[in-house]
Amino acid sequence: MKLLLFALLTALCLLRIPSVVKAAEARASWVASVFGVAALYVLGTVTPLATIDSYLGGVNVTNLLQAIFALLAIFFFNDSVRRLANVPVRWTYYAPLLSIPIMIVGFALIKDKAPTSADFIDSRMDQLATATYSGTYMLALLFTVLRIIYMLRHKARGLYATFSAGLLVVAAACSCHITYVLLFHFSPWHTFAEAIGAWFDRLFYAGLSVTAAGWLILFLSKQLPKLRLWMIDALWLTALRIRVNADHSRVSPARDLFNETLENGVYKSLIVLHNYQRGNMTTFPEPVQGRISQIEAKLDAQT
Amino acid sequence: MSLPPVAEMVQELCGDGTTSMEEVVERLTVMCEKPINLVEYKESWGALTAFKAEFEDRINVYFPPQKSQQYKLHCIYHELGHIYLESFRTCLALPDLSEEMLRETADAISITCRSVPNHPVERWVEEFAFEMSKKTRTRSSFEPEPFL
Repeated sequence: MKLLLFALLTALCLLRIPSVVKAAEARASWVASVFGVAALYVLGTVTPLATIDSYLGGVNVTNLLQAIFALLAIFFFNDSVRRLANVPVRWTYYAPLLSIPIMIVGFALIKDKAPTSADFIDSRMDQLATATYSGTYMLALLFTVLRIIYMLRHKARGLYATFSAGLLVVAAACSCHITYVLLFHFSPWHTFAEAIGAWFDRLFYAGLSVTAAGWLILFLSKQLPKLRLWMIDALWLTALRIRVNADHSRVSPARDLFNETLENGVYKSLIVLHNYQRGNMTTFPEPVQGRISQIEAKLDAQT
Repeated sequence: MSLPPVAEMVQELCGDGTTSMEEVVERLTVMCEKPINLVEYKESWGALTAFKAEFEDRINVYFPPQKSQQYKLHCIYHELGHIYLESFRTCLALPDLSEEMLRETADAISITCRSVPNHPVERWVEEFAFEMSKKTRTRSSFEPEPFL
């Protein structure tokens, strides 16, 4: 499941690079996916955990890094949902980030942190420092995830519904872990606590995978038709601008191709080419003019 | 010459969401306290794309007939950009022919002039026209898409 999530997030990171360059509003969610990939990487999903942790002193710092990266991933994802739902920023917006220093102090106070282990938390749950570290991390995650679900309440239609569905499972996973921490540390029912805690891994990664899969499908379903519709025209118009030197700069056409959305890039190229014809009191040959008119008709049809 | 950021000024003029040329002309009319008329002028235009003329009681934006509707709208938005810029920062706008120069040339058969090419104001109003096209070409609601 971790590997699937890693693959989904990596695909989102790579495929969304052009969007991130063109649209500032797409950046927070991209940063979220990068932190998600980083969290899964330090967890030993690709490179063995022992190898990564050995570079960091072999005292399970990877566990702390994973927790911080995961929290930041959810935080930036939450920021994108806030933009989507047009929710203003309040002081509580940054509250989950306050948990990071508490987590660092909690982690630092854990005794006998070596050797590297995937069961680092479970095997040291008898320590108050571990309970503080792990409990704070989960509370911050749960708070952020519940806030995302709440902000999505009016937007959770179509593929956005998978965001809510996946995050509900993540919230259940966080609740399981918090229950485990509380029961294990403050009650005698250790076996029962461990049985509840065992559900965390299954639910957490399954929930995140559902959300990531929904996000990837949403992205592909919206972007692929646009690519098919405009890519060839955008490239052809850019090449024409460069060929006739319509901008007095070879860089401008390429810059527009990368900085603008495909449709806006096509529009800009058409205007620049019209300006060129008008300014030089010239007209393009009939086949070129015909193709420009075709593209314009396509643009008109979209408006 | 420092000109205000185009995106901010477009946001100030049109707010969030989509708009139309009618709405933009209406808002500029209120700002300038003069009616703005869009006049399609069918004579020879040479290399000119459009121009605006301000009178005591009105502002006329003249534009040639165009096969391309997109380009026609763009040229009009370019001139509306001049009107908008001049409405709040007269000192930063492109210099006009002064009243004295207009009086002096009142009987002239033709007037040609040389302006500084690639002037910052020209670049500003061209960018304004591009931004306006984004606001008017978007079909329905202008929703952010932070996950695409």
